[in-house]
Amino acid sequence: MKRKKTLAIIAGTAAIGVAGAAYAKKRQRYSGIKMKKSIVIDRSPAELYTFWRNLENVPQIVDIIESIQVRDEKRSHWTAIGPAGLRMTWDTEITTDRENEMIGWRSVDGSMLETAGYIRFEPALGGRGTVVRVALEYSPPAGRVGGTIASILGKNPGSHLDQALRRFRQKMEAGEIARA
Amino acid sequence: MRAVCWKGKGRVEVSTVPDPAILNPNDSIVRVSLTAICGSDLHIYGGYIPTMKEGDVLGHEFMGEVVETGSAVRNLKKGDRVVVPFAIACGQCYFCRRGETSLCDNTNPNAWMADALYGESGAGLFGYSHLYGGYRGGQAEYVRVPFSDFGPIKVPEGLSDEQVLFLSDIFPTGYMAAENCNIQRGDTVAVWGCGPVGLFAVKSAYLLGAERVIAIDRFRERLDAAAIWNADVLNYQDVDVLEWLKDATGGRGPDSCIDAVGMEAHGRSLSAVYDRTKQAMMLQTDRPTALRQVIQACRKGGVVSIPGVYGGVVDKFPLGAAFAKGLTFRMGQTHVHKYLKPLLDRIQKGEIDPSFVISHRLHLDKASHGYEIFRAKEDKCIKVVMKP
Repeated sequence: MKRKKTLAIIAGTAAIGVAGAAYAKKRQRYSGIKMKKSIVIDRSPAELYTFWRNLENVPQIVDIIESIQVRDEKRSHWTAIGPAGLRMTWDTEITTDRENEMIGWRSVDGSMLETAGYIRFEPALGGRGTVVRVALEYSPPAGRVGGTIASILGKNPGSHLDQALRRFRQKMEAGEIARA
Repeated sequence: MRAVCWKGKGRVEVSTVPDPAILNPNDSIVRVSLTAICGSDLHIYGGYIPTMKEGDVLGHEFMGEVVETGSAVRNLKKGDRVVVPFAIACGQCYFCRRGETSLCDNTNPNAWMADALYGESGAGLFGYSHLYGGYRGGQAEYVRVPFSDFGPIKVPEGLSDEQVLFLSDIFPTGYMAAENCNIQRGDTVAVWGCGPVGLFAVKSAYLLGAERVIAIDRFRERLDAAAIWNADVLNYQDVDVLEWLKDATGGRGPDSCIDAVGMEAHGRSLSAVYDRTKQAMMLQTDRPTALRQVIQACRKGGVVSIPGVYGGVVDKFPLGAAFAKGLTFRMGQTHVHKYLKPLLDRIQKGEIDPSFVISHRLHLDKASHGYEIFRAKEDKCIKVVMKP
């Protein structure tokens, strides 16, 4: 239950009132790292949702995600890769799935990495495509696992999200990801 | 293959590097038949452009023959003779669809670098630092051309390489600079800098209906070239430019003013000395000596058009003068793609022969010499083209 509330916090501005109390509680337990970013993509919410809902597409746009294996409608197995082939894996489940609007997920209980996130697709003003908003939260545990996460994410964790959104746009608008 | 590689400030070298390969479905490989050194390459040569790495292949003005195409390429085939725009554009994004291809959202893999510096990133560029994508340039035997279904234009029979090469950059750049002036009948346009871009701006201003074009420089051969293209020419070492322009326009000033000089202005005024010192001490990145004069000279309500490249921050920018006179500023990298067809038509109709600006024809192996004389403006150097 606590976890669901955590997701609600990051899952939407609409939920802020409800989640306020849970937020304070959570802070006592661990310090979650949050990041969010948005981008305008000149495609319809439906096209963007469809790409993202097939989670196996995601590794092409997120550099630190090596693979995502979809187990069933909700569950998937994620593998992140960092420098020198450093890997870590965890399982997630989709907690919110509103067609063409939003997908929310979180790591399942007992995962090595405690994480949650969402992606929303909002029609941009003036029919100019879609505003894509992503928010992520993760809680690095202490010790070796925390060290692995830090190595994978590097000095500027937010840059992976920024890069991922730009690549998402490249893929959806230009059909391929720019490479030099 | 042989390629011109940047080796550090003031050093380029022709080296053997791996041949390019197709990396993406929309790529093509072009065998270069003719390439040129651009004035903006001199900013890299002089060490003013950050994020260059030793060994980077230079060059963004090139043309040649398509020798290989990726699986998604429909508009090009092996054997096509093409000119390639210096900015790489996807053709699909919000900006490309508005014709603003140098602002393309999707072609700079290092967009985050430009984002940190400028607030957002424009298009990736060939051979122009990692900030602009780290793409290998065209001063080489072969080039990988990404998004090749959208960029390159096929060259019709009957036109020589020298006539069409400059569609890749400097002709559209001079033309856009003039177009940005929103020239009306009876207008006087003043152009600072008679390098190749300035010369094309002079010619383009006339093509777009200017009544009178005034060209300003200090090198005789460049002023002579501008005069052949009908400009009234002005050597800023001999006259007081502001006074001369006032006098020539009955006190009003030119209707629009083009800064085809950019970040490495020379000049001889006190402000020029100030700028050279500050730039040398890394207290400012760009020397806006010409730009200050442009702003001072421009008539009330006029347009300041800036094709000259600026990369960072400038000091003593006379915003008060710009505000007091209600000036309009237009600037930026050239949206080459939208000018390719109309300017090719003008070349075909004989309205302009761009090869006019070429002063030196070298083999690619002599690139180092080409950079040297172009920077020093030695041997009456105006424009260097090179054949691999």
